[in-house]
Amino acid sequence: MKKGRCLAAFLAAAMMVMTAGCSGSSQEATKAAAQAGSGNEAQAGDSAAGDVKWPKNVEIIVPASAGGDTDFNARLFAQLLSEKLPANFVVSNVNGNGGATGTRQVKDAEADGSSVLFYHSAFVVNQLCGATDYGFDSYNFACIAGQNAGNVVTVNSSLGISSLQELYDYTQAHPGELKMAAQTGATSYAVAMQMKQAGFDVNIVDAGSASDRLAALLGGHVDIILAAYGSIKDYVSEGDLVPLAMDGKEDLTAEGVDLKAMQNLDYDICLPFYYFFAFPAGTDDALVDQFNAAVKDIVENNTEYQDQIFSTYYQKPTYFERQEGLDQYQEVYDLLENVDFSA
Amino acid sequence: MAIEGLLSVLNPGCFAVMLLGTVIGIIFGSIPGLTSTMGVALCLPLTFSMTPLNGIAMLVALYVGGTSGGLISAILLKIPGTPSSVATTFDGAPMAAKGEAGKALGAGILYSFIGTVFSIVALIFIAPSLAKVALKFGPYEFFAICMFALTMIGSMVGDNLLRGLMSGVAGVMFSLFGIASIGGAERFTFGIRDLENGFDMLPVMIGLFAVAEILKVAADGLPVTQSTALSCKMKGFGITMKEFKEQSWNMVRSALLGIGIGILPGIGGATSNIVAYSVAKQQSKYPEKFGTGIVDGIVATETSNNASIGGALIPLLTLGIPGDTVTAMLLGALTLHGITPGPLLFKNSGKLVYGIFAAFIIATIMMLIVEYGGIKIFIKVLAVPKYILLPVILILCVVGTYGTNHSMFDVWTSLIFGVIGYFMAEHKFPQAPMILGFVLGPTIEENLIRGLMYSNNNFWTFFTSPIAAAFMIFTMCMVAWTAYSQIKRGLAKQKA
Amino acid sequence: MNSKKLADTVINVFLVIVGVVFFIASQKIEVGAAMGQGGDFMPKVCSTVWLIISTLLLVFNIKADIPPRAEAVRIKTFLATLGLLLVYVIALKPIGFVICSMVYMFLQMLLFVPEDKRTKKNLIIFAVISVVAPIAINALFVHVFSLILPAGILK
Repeated sequence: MKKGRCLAAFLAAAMMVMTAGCSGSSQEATKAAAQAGSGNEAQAGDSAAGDVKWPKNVEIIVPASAGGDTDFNARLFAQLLSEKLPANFVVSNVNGNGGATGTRQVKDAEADGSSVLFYHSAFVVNQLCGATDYGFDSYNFACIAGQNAGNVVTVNSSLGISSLQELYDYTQAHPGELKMAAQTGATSYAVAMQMKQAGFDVNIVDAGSASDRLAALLGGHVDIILAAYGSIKDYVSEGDLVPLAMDGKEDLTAEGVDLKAMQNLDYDICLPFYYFFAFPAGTDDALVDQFNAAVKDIVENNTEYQDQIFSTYYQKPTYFERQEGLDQYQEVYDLLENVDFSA
Repeated sequence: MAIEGLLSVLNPGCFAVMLLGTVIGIIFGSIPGLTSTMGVALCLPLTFSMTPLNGIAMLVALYVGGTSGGLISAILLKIPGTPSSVATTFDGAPMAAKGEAGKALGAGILYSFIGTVFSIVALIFIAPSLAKVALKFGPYEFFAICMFALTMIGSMVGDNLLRGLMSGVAGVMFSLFGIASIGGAERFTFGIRDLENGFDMLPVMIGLFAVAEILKVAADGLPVTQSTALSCKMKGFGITMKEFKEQSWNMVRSALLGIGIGILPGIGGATSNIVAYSVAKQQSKYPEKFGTGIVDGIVATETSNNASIGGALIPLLTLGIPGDTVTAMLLGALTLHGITPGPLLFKNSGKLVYGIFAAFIIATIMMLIVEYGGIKIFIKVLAVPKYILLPVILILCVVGTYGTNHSMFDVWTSLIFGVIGYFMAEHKFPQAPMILGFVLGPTIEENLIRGLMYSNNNFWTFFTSPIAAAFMIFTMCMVAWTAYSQIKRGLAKQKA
Repeated sequence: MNSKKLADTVINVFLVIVGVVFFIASQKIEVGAAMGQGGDFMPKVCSTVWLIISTLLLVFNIKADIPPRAEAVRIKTFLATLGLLLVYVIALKPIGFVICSMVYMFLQMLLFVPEDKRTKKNLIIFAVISVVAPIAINALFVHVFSLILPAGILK
């Protein structure tokens, strides 16, 4: 026992030093953020803190694995929200069942503000695939807090294909020959199905998570993947991989990149990719409003945040509150409703 | 650039956070239920305010400490601290029971260090080419390799092949519970919603070892003599130069196995320690002595599990592809600091990469010093009466099992597997095949189904890959050999 | 048939029954039409192998000579511990980690401690440890590491 207690005491002391150090620097960061953005709004969040009771720790449940784009966005928010609101935001990755495990956990969690879901358009795919039997009305929807720049249809350069049209022609000439990687019940699957319906005759196969799919493409085990541009840009400049088109609503234009969205190339393929926050149904509206105010301020005014999401994943700041956010998702729902997931 | 990188680590701030990381890692590793994954997840937010290198250095130190720390409880309590130290219990615990706890700890720590050093060398000098080889591994190859690893059960079953096989099959079976990762079919959920996500590795291990141990003590009572071997008079690391020489091939082989298994995404220290142990036993001149408390077993497991760390870092740093949950967290940490690992990482952020290498080396040395210095303290755990120690350990297990996913179901899982583990031990079913089956089951299934998808449902396509074909043939040879030796032994027994 | 052999046989029969349950359950898996057939393949293979091995175990065990167990199992303590663990897990969420752990630890120590060590001094030590350890562990993990443990009624 003695050993345990000594170690615990040492650890606790050490951690206190650490946290003290951290809070010092985080205060500075908050200050810097407030100065950078409009100071008024930042304070609006703080002054309202009195009316709402925040739990000590708020768990942001992310139904995606660590190291990916969703996790990145969630952790960035966790860090910035902990500085803004009187609670400590902790990210917890809950994988499984195409995300349904995590979304269900929040749906059934206590509505005291201690859990919040951070997920994206796959929520709608889950619903349409039948992996889940509930929609946004089972939550107290907070806001859309970000928009992914979209995924890139990417092929290995050894294939010799350099445009989406060439890919289309190739799959028409060689039906079912090319393997396209997707993950069951995820957004990649929905896009792959859309492409198939649009006439790309590919063999849709499972190749696991985003990083597994990248490995599978590099190793020559699959031919087509959907990937975040940030994760493939090194390989593109090395000439190993070729990006063809985007699956979102918008083209991607940045430092030497100019990729058209498939929708703008006259293919009927599009999956807008929004990140959202949702609390369990019954969570105090005042708490959610205060949360939204903080998120809004970060998205719209924190230049550090804006720089970081752009430099890492080419994301542009996006924010839609409450009903506006749900309206955006209705659009996603309508788009995906035409996809036949049973094929 | 290498020197620049090294210099960037050599500052008091970096040393301080790394020392902290090592200590937290060792604590998380040594307490059953808490793992290095959890340690890294919990400390990740702390690194936001640090420089990228300091942050990553702290997490690497945590990873190294956590992987090694598991040996402490494996040896002293017979409960592995992390899945990476499961096989360390097989010979570590008997050594402690014989009064050689100091020697077991010393050897475990020394070989943890050596294993890490091996993998650092691999990481620094041959990482890019190794990573390219790893990329060649698709579903066919993964399926074949994991099947081969599964045949290691044969060498772990002791004198009853059937019981070992039963245990292995049960491990695979339990790993299949829940929604299929490909296709989404619901399996064995029996209408229980929580079962949709299946059983998690950590609570299963906690159940089989920690909870089962508590039930065993309840049923059999405490051993009458409390372990008397508290004096730890030992020179150096407790093993002699002669022993070190004898173990050199075992050490090299285990290190290579550890690195090789670590590179492959999806399998890591949890597999490599069991595989290295089985191989060491199989190749040994005295396989019957394994499990009675010989240093060979510890050398194999502790070298290989730490060698897997460097192995797992190879695809992360060269390709941007994480191989396990800890490296996935590291990838997250790197991206949050604005660094995207990939083939150009060495070119674009060479200073940082060499800084990480330097941090890795320093963390390893710190681990050696902290653990070696701690042996005398660790060993005092044996002086604490078991009737006090076990309940404390159990509540720490609850912290770990509940805290990882915040799910009560995980706590139930550990209780259920505690009962299973108790009856297994009581009726002489070995636990290691179950763990191995449980770890490998999902990888085998996923890759089998993926392979069939890739080949339009033609299993023979698997044999068109030379690597896969070779491992399939090895697998069949192993099965045949195991069956043959069992039959021979059976006949010999009948004659006697 | 001695009690050890009887116990072994009971276990083996149990394994066969579980095998049958798994076998039937695996035949009933609905694969669905979504991408990736074959979610039922491994379960079917595995449960078949399970059935075969458990049947073989049962047959060989009936033939074998098994020496009786050296010491008797303390069935009362075993069941009490199992019951205590059950109650601990059931109560964990509603009542909370700290209080449950205090009660559990104290009772578990009482169950484990040998007769001759059940002194007043030891009881005090148990009580102190049972109170201090859960509070310390809770403080460390919840407040320092931001881990979430069931708070229960102490919210």
